[in-house]
Amino acid sequence: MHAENEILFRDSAAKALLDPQLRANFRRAMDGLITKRKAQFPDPRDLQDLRDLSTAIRSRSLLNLPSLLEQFEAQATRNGIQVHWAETCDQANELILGILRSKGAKTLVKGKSMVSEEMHLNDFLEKHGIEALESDLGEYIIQLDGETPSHIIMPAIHKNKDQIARQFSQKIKDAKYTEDVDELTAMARKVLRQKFLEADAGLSGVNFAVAETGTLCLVENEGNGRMSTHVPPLHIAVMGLEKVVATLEDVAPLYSILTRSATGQPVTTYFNLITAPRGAGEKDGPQEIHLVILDNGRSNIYADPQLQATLRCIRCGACMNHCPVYTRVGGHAYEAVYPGPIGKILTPQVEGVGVRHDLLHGSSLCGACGEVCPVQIPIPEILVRLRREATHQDPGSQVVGKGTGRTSSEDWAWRLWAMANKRPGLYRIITWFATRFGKALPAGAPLIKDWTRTRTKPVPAHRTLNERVRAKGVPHV
Amino acid sequence: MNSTFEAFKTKAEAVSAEVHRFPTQAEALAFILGFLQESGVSDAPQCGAVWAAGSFLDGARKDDLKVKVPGITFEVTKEASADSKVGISQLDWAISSTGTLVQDAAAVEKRLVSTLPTIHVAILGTDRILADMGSVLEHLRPQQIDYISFITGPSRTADIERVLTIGVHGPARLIIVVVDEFQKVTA
Repeated sequence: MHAENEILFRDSAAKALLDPQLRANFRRAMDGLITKRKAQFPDPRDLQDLRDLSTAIRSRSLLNLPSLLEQFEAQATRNGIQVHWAETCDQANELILGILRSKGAKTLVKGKSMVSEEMHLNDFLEKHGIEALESDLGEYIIQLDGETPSHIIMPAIHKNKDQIARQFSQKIKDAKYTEDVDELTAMARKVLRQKFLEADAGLSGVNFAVAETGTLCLVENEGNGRMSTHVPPLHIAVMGLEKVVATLEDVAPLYSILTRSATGQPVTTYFNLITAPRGAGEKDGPQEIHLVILDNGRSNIYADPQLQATLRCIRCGACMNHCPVYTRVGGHAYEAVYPGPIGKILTPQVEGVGVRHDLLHGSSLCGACGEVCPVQIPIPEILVRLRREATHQDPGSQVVGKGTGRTSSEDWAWRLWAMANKRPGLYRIITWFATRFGKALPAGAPLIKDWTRTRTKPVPAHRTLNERVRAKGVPHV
Repeated sequence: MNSTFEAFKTKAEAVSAEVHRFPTQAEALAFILGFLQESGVSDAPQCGAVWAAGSFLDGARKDDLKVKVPGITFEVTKEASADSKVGISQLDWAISSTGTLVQDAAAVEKRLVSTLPTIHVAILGTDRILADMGSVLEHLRPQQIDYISFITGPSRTADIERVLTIGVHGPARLIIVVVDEFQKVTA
């Protein structure tokens, strides 16, 4: 029995496990990422120092979040960036559509942005007659097939080059079949280059927003982020409201731990600090920069002192790279924008712990995610907390969907348990029967079947502890 | 200064950049012109070179440069940059610990020539190489600069099977020309 509308991770995970190619693709990629990250942190003490510093910066930023956001907005506005606030994804989509329409823009070329994935911006714009084209190579590959990212840093990592070769030869005009990665990349470059030059607007995400200077920081390797933010005449940036930090000094350590944790690079190819649109007398560059700041449940997470740590995340993806569950089932099985351990705590807090109850249990609580997290988010502890929230109506809690994951069979089980434990006579009868006939209980019996689905059936002892102690002649039992 | 330069060179070459050092501006200019000729820069379509304004060009006779290498233009636009094989710009700072170039890219021309052409030639004064990002940020304040770019090596991706591929959207080659002595150039 499950809550109404519950999305069952166990079903999609089981399906994913049957695909050996998918498992091989993830295994190889994640092993590579783990090795590269490890090489970046040869000294565990240095790593811990940097994690402590980064954690302190993110925690302090969150502590002062409301005032930092105000300071950021005031400074960015002074710089000429137009700041918009959206409480929901729908509002954010409408805002962006409004900006594009006011400029008569028909085509939008996009740098990588997970917040825009959260908003399902591409589908929304397409419905309203605006072409939104992904320019990050990985995002471009999955957009061709109408897929969603399977990893927040490497969106197309579920595909191997043979699959991409077939896809390009079918979907790109005049493309020949090749499995050469350089040639495949060149094909995408050619298509996208033309789009960049023709696009009416460019969209980017934001890695850090600096309150002191009103600056947007953008981390990338391909150059598409730079192009999205200065080739088209209009630049729209989207970010979650947790991205703000106080000063530029805060950015340097966060940037360093981000790139090293994410792809094992000491720095990325490009790191852009964007502070203002085209100056007077300039012929190129964006005439306007708009920034849409999205809430989408973040304020609610912010209100809880323990769960607030979720918002420290700098989206490096190290937790998924090291997760034994993610590595085996891949990102799509989570049926969520953010997969892996961070998605496992973020998604239920946004969508509701009831409908995502099953996802909360898709973890062995091995602790690898918390161990590698650059900002030390206690993912396993938060997971355990949310499991409780899913089945309890704690009055002080603001968790979305709290208590809605509780099922009637669970209710009955606890009622029976309480009844038996309050009545010694009944307890003895039940344990007597359990020890004598428990073995005969089929594995598929109610209450047991969820346990035995992936485990062997527990077999009760021959006699209860009470009986055995008494048989030994211990008095007063 | 030599050890800082050597550290910078090692790190930059590790991310596939090419580093050349010259004592004087005249030698650097001669190298750049030779490089443009060798790379087949001409006034044919897709073969041009766009050169963004910078103090390196102060005093240079631009018309003479255009005669020496037809195809060079100093009129930087989006279209001209997209149509060019080589983009040349002056960089403001560099970071030796990571082999990074830092560009005060408030002038959009500098962004365009360092992004759209296939080859980016970056000119840098040797004394502009600093130890780390923090030291550079002491000199560059975003309050005064609309757009600051940190550039480490040519454009790259590993989105297909984590195979490293150079030159996805930005330049496929980054040639760094380090000059010890910035002085007026007469070419």
